[in-house]
Amino acid sequence: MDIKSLEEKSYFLRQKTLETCLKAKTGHVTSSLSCVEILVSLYYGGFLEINPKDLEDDDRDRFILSKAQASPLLYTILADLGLYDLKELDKFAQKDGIFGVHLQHSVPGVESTAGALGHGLGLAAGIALRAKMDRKLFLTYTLLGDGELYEGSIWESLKFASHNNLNNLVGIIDRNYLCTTDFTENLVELEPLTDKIKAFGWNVIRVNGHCFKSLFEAFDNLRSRPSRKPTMIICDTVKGKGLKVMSYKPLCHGVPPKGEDIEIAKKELNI
Amino acid sequence: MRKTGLNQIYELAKKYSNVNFIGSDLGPGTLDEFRNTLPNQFFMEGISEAHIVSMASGLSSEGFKVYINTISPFFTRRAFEQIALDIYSENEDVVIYGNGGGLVYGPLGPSHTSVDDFALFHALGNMIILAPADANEMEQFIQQSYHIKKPIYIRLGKGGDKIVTSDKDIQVGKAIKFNKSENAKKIICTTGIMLQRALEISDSLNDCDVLHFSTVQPLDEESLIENCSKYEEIIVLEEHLQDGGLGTRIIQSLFKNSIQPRKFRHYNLGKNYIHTCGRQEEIFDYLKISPKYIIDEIKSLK
Repeated sequence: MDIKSLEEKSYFLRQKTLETCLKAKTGHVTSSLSCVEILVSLYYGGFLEINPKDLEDDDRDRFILSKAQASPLLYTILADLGLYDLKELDKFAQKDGIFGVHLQHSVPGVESTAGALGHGLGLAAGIALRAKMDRKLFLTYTLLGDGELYEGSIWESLKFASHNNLNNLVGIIDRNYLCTTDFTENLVELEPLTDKIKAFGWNVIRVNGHCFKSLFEAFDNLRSRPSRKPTMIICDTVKGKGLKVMSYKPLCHGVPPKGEDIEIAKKELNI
Repeated sequence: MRKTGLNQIYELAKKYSNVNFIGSDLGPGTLDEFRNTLPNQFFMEGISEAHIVSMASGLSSEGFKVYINTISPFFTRRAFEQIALDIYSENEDVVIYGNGGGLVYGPLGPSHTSVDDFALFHALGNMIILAPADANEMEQFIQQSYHIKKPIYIRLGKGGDKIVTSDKDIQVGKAIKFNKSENAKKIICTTGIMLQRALEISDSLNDCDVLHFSTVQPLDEESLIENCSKYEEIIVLEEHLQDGGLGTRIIQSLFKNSIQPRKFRHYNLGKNYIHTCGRQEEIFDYLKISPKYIIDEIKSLK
């Protein structure tokens, strides 16, 4: 797919994610919108090698969505890839649907149940360790939220992955600078994040997480294992990207727009 | 018991290449042969229980049978969320091999003693909870554990426990009956290494049988009901806090099945964490749940 098509796909996914959450009156709209270009790069840019027709293929790349609150976006992508009908999204977080607000393994194409933070990197590291020892060639990707980095277990897993030279493991941080109530740097500062993760023995690449050119440069070549170390791609993003009415604002977490913001948001994304 | 179990895990690993073992900073010399001969199946990590449980889930999701091992409460309390979500909720093929069940680490205090493990895992209704009484039972359980594709927790005793189960048919999920007297009016329901104490009590009382629930969950209700309906007095003896353990579960089952014994006694570790540091047997004495106290009490209350 060329960049223009990827941008069109991103726009469609933003629209669908907003629609899904508005209909359900729940769901993490802003957490999803910050990582649209990241997931589009993986799923449509050719960096995550999976065959939607054979989800059990042992050689498929694994993708662990550790920041499981971005589930409405992932669910939309998996529907768009044909794993189930797009109409299923109308039943997001409904009792007769197949999705919850967080992530369920039972959904086709989802590798792990998640929701509580700080689990995905350890799980992905277990998969990557085994793959490396068994000389399997697939990559294991995991997407972390930046708020998730407050969990101690993340730093346990960071140490483990670099100690074991898991260069088949790719961590991605959606660095959108916002937790639920405040900006991370006001809560407990995370910066200098690149230095911290480098100090834990990782190969770190920092990019604009909404720029396909930068994302492609970061993801490119990882399959040839350029470093002995695992790679962390820190993606600077905007929480709620694409929806000005919900961007750069604390307390816009886990909820779709409300009241008069609903029409503003719909207008912004042309739905 | 601990050594026997670890050796059995090693034997399984030799036989089945999908067996993986992950320890958390276990003492020097632990499983050196395993580490040296099967380095692709043996992992010794730093002190990072939350990571280890998630990592085990990752290995299991790739088709491996994973045994994880450290001091019991460091898994059960510290990594409970990882166990509940990554292992239990996903029904992963992981065995939690918990050192120092009950008061084995009594001298180290409440941080190291595992006196609430049954309660925590009773909350996870389909998790198998095993508490073998001796090395023989442990050996059987580890062998069977390979074929059970579900999360299992095994509570370990200190080791060197008197072998009392060698002539019994040991199966995960089945209680074991020790008939002591033809006209027994009492039965002690117990688990883990309290079995040896229960047998000592029953030897002294002459009218008391013993029912050993080495599988604490799922509780062998069939055996409980069949046996307990015959006795006037039911005594539960367990190395666990008062609430949420074997006793609680037995009361629930008896009530549900309308079985009302004439007398019911529950010997346990009390309501709170134990801040008295001492060896296991010393704390049993302190709490007056060692055989000599129980025998005296039961005899005096006749």
